[in-house]
Amino acid sequence: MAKIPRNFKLMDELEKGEKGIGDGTCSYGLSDGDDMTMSDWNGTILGPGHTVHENRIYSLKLHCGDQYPDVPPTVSFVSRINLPCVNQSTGRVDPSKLTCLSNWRRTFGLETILTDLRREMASPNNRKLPQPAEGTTF
Amino acid sequence: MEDSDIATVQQAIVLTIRPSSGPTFTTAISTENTVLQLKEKLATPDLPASSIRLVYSGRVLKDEDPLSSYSIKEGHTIHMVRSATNRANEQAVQTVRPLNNSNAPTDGFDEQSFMSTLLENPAIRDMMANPEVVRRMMMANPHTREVMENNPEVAQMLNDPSFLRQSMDMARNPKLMKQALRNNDRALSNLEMVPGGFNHLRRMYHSVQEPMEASRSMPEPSTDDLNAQFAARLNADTRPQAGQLNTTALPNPWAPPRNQSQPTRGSMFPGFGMGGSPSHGMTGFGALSPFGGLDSPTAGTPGSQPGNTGAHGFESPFGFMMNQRTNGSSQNQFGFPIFNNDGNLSPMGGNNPEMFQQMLQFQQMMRQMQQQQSTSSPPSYSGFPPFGNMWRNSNSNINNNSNTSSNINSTTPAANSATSTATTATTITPSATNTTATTNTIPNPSTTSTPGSTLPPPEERFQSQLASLRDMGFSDNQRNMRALLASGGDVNSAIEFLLRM
Repeated sequence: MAKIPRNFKLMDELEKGEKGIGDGTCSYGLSDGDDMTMSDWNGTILGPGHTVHENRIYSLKLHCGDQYPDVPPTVSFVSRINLPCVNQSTGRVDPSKLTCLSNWRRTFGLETILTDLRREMASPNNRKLPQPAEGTTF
Repeated sequence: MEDSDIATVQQAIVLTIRPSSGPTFTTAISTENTVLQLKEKLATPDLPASSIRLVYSGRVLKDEDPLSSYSIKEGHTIHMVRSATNRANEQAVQTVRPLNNSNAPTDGFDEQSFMSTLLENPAIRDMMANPEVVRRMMMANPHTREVMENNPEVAQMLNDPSFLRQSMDMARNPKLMKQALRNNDRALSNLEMVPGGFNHLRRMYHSVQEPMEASRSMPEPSTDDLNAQFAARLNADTRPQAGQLNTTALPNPWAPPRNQSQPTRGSMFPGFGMGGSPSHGMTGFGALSPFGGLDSPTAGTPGSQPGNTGAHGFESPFGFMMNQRTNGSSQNQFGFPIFNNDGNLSPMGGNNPEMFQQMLQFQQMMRQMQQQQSTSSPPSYSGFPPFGNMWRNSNSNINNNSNTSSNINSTTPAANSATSTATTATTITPSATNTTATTNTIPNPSTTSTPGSTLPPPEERFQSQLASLRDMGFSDNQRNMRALLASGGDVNSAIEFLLRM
């Protein structure tokens, strides 16, 4: 199967994000619509129900480097969150602690990362973790 | 002017709104509008604009920004999320409750956590929600009523539904309870500071709190009688001698409770010279079960001298009969003296009419058996050929003559050990409490097992025997089982037992 070049993939993802395809719990889009390199992205995760994250919206920043999608994007939280895979001083997501980043594949996309993080929030170990006040940022 | 109008119209776009729950819908709005205006457009009576949050392309839209600043275009999707702040309080309450419950045991408030779980029970909650019920419950306690009569202010308080509801809420929530207790302590210490406050507190304590607390405790004081009852319930038969080292093993409180319904048990068996020992473990007939004694760890102790067994407790008619025989007293009198003497029955029958009836039935059956067997068998065991068989089988001296068991008759110690072997081999241990007033005087053995026994249930153990009995035409499984249990699994004697029944 032919490799999908970086920009095609990102264009595809941009459209998906704008049209809101997916389960609707995660949203993402270019942080600057004029950025022709499509490197910097915003993402939001709607906190999963029946957890401490319920009804919270977490904002993230994702940076797709030149090597994307061969190399996973760097992901960091803007909203403060207490999760084992998130660096508590910078908000960066530790790639080694998030399955989809450590086992990254070309077919994965930004949505994969966001849904995986959301699943992480809902996991039995993390769902009751005390969380910082909503609205605080890193 | 016109140009700008056209511009606005041209800027109007159709957006897809995707709520967190429910179907998506579309709305048309000009990109010149601010986010707040969009929210107002989307607001519904139960979802005001202030609690709507909109997310687009990974960003939470800010109220004051115009939609154009987010470069939202025709057909794009905006996620609509209900704001957390709206439900924050509700959610906080919901999360606090389970947390409290899980914390309660670690705080050492076991009773409280029990209380709270009890009060969480919907039925109890419903009941407690009705102040009238609570009031009636309180009035049902004579002590509380007394307090209420003596103190009109207390009565007023307890009649106040809101106070009752509040206290119920408090009892339900351990945190609240602790808070209230802390407040109470603080208030008390404040009161003490006031001149005369201490006296007032003392008066309050004597007139209200003390009687209230007394109403919770047991009205009866501790008596020897009550203590004896408790001791019996714990199988503590012997009372340690004062001034002596107590070397006897502690009683096993988990052992099946022995029948303790004969306060005058000693006097019921005048013929056996053991009426004088109130501490021995003789508990009548093990609730009239002929097997009752097999249950007891002391009955039929191998090698125990017949004369001494009184101290070990004749808990079954067997132990009883054996000693009766070896003591050489009234060999021909098959039954128990108690059955022949109505006067002696009264202490038992008076206590428990059901028991009385069972005893009579038992007696009848024994008489019947005796008549049937009286021709050919030695007197002591004539009534119980199956039991005789049981002993014989466990002694591994199997002979087909079910009416005689010569080796048992020859030596009592042998018989005694046989009894104990039978106990382990068959584990027929109907517990005293399981005896029901059925027409069969032998209690249903299927409900019985030795505590700690690892043997499979009798249905399993006697499966093959049961099957052969069924093949022979004995269709009543329950009776078959009973017979098999009585015969220790020997089909032949089980058949005899069945024919006799």
